[in-house]
Amino acid sequence: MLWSGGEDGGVGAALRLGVEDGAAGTASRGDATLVRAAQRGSEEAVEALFRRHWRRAHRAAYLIVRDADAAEDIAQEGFLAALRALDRFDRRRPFRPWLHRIVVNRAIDHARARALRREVGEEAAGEITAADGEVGLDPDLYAALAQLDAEQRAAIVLRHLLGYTPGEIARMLDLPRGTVNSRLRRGLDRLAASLDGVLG
Amino acid sequence: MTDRDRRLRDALQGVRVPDETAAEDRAWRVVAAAPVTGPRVAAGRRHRRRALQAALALALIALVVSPAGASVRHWVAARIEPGAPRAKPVLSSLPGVGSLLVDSAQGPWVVHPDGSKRLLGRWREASWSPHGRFAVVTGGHELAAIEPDGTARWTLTRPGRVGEARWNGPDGYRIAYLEGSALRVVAGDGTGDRGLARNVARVAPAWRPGPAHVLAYVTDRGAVVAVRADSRRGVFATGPGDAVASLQWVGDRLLVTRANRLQLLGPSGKLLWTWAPPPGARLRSATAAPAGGTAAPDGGRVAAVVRQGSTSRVLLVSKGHAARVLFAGPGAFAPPRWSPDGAWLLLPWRSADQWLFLHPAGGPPKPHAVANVAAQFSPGDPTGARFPTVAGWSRSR
Repeated sequence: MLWSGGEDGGVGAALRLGVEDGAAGTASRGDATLVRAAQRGSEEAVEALFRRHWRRAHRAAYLIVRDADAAEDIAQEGFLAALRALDRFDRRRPFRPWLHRIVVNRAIDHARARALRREVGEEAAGEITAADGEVGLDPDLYAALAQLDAEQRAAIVLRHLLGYTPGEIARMLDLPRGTVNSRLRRGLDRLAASLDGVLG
Repeated sequence: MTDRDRRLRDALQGVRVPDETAAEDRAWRVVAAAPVTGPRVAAGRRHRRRALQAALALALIALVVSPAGASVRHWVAARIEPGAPRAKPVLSSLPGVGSLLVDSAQGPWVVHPDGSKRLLGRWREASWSPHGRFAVVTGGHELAAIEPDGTARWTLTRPGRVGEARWNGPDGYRIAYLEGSALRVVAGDGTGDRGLARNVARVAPAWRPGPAHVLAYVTDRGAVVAVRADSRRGVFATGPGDAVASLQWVGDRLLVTRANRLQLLGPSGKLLWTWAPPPGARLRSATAAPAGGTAAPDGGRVAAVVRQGSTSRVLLVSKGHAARVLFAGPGAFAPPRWSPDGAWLLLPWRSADQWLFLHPAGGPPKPHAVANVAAQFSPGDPTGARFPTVAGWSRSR
């Protein structure tokens, strides 16, 4: 496997932490090691960053755009954009919100554009119904999420899937904190109204 | 955190994207092959990279060894990274004739033949007038006609959100646009704004070239309708159908891109031809070469983008001929654009952050490639740069 230490400058040790997106402090320290190694040219570090962050970025994009193909493209392009800009990345800052900012903003752009311009295959791919058990989400909750606009879904996803505070979300989306709070509150109200059975 | 927050968090943590393991593998193949900034250390990884490249190369062999793939054999070879080799770092000129109109997060840009460009303002979408002397732009509730230097000739404000504006040709006397689900028409000088149809799908309407001002649009039930905009007399209407992505006239024939198939309709709406992508592939977009250039009179050449797994292909499709692969690569392609004379095809390669200028009718087998496209249209925001949309290619200089 790739994950032995040695010449990679501590990458293996960071990988052995086995953290994926959780425990922000530990993950950030691991990410910082990986980013430093990636900036020095370690391909192992690039893969470790990808494996560590792909799944949540992919799921976040999916919940915002509700189209598996588009979510794959968005998350993939988000990683590519992040890697291309890695030499300009300030290592004192955490990698995770930087990546999520790129992916979520792209997902919002895509959802807005789709609202204006219908795409090929949208009917087939865009709407997941209650029959799609593989989504792993309560069908009523998924349907209620679909009723929110993309900006509200993004705020909900950043807060409740990715675990950012409203202040962090405001910085990531370049929005006033009050706007984020408003989107979260309205989004949650609409979800709760639709889903008393799920959310109590 | 409230109890409601906790339950929502737990519910979202359980989400699974359909096919997500395979998607991760596909994405990693693309990301792994991408150039990363800085000196990458290949020690201990060369064998793995070679194995990866071999696996991706195998995926493309079917394209290369088939007669349809012959035209790309010269340069595809083992080149499988998301990005063409030796791409220019900046757009320094356009091949062929004309100027581009490019929609970006900051607004539309005009790109001149020498590569210089100008931001037209904070509009969302733009479309050329028939001779490229003006652009019609939309943003929020406003529609405007502007000159290529950004000067507004007139503006129109509507109660609803407007978009998908298209100028007719060749006389330029009419502009069609959507306001919500309503189709409206206004004269080219901004006067005489009026409604033409309701319950219209969010698909850009298309003007048939010529003085009759025949306009095609899509209803919210997927029917395609052609009508004389001045008299409101119908020309034809098809039955309801599945989702339509785009309409484009090729002379007096109408190319309809539906979910996973192309249709060519004759002047009276008769179905002349249908094309579907190969099994397992999904049609993502299609654009016909302009009529009057090198286009064939039977509906012309269509550049169709299809996606299969992690590989996208742009195919040259025409009635009566086998589809020919123009280009294949990992990741996603945005809708391509033909040059005004039909000699060049601009293929936006989103995953590679590149534009490729292909020369479908012979010429050099390698595309002209330009890298760093997103950053070039997002000055001042390098990490948040979004890949722009090519809205049009006009003869305008």
